[in-house]
Amino acid sequence: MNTIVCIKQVPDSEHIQEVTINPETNTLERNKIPAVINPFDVNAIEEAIRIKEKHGGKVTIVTMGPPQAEEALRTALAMGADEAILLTDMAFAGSDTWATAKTLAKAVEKIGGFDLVIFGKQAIDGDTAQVGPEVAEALSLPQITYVSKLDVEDKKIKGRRTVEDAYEEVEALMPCIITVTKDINEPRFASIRGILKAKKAEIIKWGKDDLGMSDEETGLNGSATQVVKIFSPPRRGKGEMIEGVSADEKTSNLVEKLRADKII
Amino acid sequence: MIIKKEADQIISYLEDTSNLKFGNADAVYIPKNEAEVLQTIKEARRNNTPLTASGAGTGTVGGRIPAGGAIISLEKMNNIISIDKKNSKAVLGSGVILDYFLKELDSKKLFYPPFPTERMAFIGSNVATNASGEYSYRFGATRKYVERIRVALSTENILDIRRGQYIADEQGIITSPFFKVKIPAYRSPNIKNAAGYFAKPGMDLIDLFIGSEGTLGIITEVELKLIPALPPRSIMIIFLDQLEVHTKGEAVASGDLLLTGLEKDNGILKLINSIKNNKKLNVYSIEYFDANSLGILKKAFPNIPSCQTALYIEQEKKEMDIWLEILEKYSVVDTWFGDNARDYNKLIDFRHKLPELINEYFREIKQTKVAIDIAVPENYFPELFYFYREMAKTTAVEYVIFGHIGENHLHFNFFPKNEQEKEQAIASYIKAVKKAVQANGTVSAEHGIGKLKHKYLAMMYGREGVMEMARVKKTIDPFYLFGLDNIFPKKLLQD
Repeated sequence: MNTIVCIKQVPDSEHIQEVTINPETNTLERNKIPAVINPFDVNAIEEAIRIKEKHGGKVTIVTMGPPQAEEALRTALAMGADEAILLTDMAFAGSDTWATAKTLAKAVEKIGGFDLVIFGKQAIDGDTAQVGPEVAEALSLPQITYVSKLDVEDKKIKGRRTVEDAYEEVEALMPCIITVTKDINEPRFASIRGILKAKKAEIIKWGKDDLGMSDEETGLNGSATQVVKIFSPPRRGKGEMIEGVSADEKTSNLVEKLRADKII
Repeated sequence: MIIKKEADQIISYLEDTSNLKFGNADAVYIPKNEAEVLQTIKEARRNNTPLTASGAGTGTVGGRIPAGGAIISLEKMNNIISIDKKNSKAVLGSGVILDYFLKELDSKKLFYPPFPTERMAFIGSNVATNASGEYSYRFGATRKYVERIRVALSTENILDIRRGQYIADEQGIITSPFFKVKIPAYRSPNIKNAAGYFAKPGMDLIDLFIGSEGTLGIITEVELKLIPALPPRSIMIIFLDQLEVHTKGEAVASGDLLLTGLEKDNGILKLINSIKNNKKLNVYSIEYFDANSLGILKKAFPNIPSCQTALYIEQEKKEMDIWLEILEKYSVVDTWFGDNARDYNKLIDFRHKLPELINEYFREIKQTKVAIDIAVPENYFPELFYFYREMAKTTAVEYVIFGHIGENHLHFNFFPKNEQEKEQAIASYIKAVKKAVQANGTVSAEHGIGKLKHKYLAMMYGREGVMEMARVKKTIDPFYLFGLDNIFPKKLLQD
């Protein structure tokens, strides 16, 4: 049972305060804060490794990104993935979700021999949740999104799909694509042996030509959408703590303040 | 000044994490400044009632729980007076909450090395209890970082003590503007220690107040030494199996205080030593968890593999090759490594969760826990470790062993289910205390004596030693105003 996991390297949300946006290029200034694997993708990797542990086969990790995304792949290898492929090419720069999905789909096709492709439900930087479903469409594969529990049977999978206030049980024949939520598992930590193995592992690199793609299909040219502007919202004013020993005192202090500011 | 006299306003000041239930007081005074502290003292003197200093209630030995009289809460003395980056020091009111202070330091790229684990504690209480913390293995406890304190005395004076200002002379006398005190003749062990007054020839008066558990005066202001913000760290948890310690017989046969015998095997102590002695590693803490601890932690970390022991290591760099070299001699079941912020924080929780779960359990069953807090000098630790293992094998009471193995300090906690089990646990506790005393160790490395451990302090220093502490107390607090029943019982003062 072979699984492919598509991951994305994103700015570490633990450092959210330090995130800045370049006003000229309308992009995140990524080099200023540490990068990590998109948190939902960590769950995707964990699920793939668990499937391998139970059913055998191998786990291949794919990411599209700049050369430094190699670090994310090594982290995935340290967790226990078998193989890692970096899709990196200047031609890929500026890809929107559609161009990204087409590129990933080509890579998945090129890898071949898979039963399941797993994505995190969305990336925490773009938050679109589009790439997984788009890859499924591009490859004409069945898909189950927002999977919070997965059972693998002989030729099919059964996924619990979390929707608002309920869940659906969905079956699909393999090969197929799923996107997973945080609830699906508790990801493991990398081990020392894993880290050392990952350090020495070879990362396969594919560019546009390796995937047999044209300039028109990739990057900005292949994108149906374009980000016109991205900006930080103005900072909200600092909150003020209302002092007081008791709830009563705090309440009257608050009322007094609201009166003074002519709010009431 | 705020004064609370209604029972429902006072009640929250009558408890801490010891679960002791006797607390009672007539009033809570909440001064905003030194003048109000002195006014509180004056009033207590006039009413002839004892005054118990109250921190945030994070203590485990009932230090702040009043045995009658009034409470003085330092919660409004909570100004950070200055943070001086150039000279790496900070001046704070004693009621500043540690967490708030650490966040302020963080924004200025500074760090307070004692780093006590209870972040809601007051900084003055940390000084009054010589609190140790998460990086004690590397940096030591609070004492080392206190440069100056201001203390309100029961004689209604403010004593300003800068380190180096008031030193014991050859006769062991320290002379301050308000009293002359003869320091105790015993010597505090030179290890992690929070048991009784500090004493050492040629000692500094400031060290007498640090760790005096609110019995000598009310600390109003502290000046602390700081260091630059720490470099990024990573955490590793090593899950281990089958680390056999030699039997006592084999060890004795090899002579020399068991040490030789114990070091010969590939046991956990040898592993700890090889970590401690490896100069290439930059370790901040080494924590130990036994199989029972891991069993409890599984509630929060279901992925814990089944194994005997885990070590938690926080360190500066990830020298994976060195680790592999060290660990290949041992039966390692798994390792968890976290260096990005998310994994690091999750793994920090691995360490914090256990004491939390244990305290929760005791609150539920409404018992005071029987928690051994002894520590011994390094060369005696193998013997103590062996003793703990034997105790674990023979006791019928449920237990966990965990803690600061890097500092030769483990917590052996019993979970007695009834009074009979509690008696058994206490009997074991006393055996452990005797071990510690034999080894020139301490009966309390970090929890303190408070109102719970008088008996054990007497085992450590003898009645004579505790009498000497009482004598110091009588000299500095002649009205027996402060911290009634902390460290030693009131009746000792009247003897």
